[in-house]
Amino acid sequence: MEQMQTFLAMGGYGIFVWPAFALTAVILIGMLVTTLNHLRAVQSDLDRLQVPEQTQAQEARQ
Amino acid sequence: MNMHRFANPGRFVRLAERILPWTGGLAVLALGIGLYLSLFVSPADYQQGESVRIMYVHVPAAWMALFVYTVIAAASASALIWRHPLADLVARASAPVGAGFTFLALATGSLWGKPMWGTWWVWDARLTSVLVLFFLYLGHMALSNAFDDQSRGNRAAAVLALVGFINVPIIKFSVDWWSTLHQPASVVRLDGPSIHPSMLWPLLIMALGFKLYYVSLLLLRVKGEVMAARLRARSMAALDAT
Repeated sequence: MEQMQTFLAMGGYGIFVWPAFALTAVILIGMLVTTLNHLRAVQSDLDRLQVPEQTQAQEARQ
Repeated sequence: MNMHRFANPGRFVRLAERILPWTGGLAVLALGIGLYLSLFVSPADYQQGESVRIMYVHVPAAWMALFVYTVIAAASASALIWRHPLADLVARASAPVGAGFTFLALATGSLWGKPMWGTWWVWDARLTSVLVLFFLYLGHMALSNAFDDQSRGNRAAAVLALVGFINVPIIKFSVDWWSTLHQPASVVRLDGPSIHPSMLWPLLIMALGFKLYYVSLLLLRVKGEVMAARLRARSMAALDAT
């Protein structure tokens, strides 16, 4: 427990060290999540546009 | 090598999907090891104490801020000169990521500056030129989306990227050319790194993790740009058909 507290205190610099690492995590993970959301949105739009084309092609075959 | 061999967007997406698991996996591995080394293994600095650990995220972020801008400038040149079809997409996909790294470098630098220099910010050459870099990224993002015709926006942004590249050597050498609070280079030096291996290794592994992260994110984002272009073409076709 005491070891943990010493570690978190970072020799008195904890209030500077931890925000720096937390901000890094937030930005790196945030950019990844934004990118993946965008990919998913574009993919679902593409799928929606593709469906009528396929039905058209099926209709044309019949 | 034929530059246009990988220019086919469909081929690029297939290639990206093959590479991604590797770069992504290695990025997680390097960042995990780097984080462990920088928080638990590396020693406190004799001058800076534990605050030196901020360096393990600050320095890689700052390196990436310059690296990503260099990638954008190179991509912009090949877009303007050779009309390489993927080059514009690489530049578009990179700009927000570069802005993220630059913001991170500024913010973590500020968090280190407060206890070590006694101030969050000074208007010296290094800090100001990095702030200019951040605005160049924002300008690039705004310009590339400023026109209905995306290719016009891309061309304007490419010109901005090339003109703004002058800022990259200014940032690199700012600590030598002007007197500044920021310390000079301690890793990339002609006479070899001047920091101890117990701090150099965590830093290099973190930097490798940041780079692999960027490569993975870039592959995903360029894939997104390719798909968005396909979507635009398809919606046009759907409009024409009705």
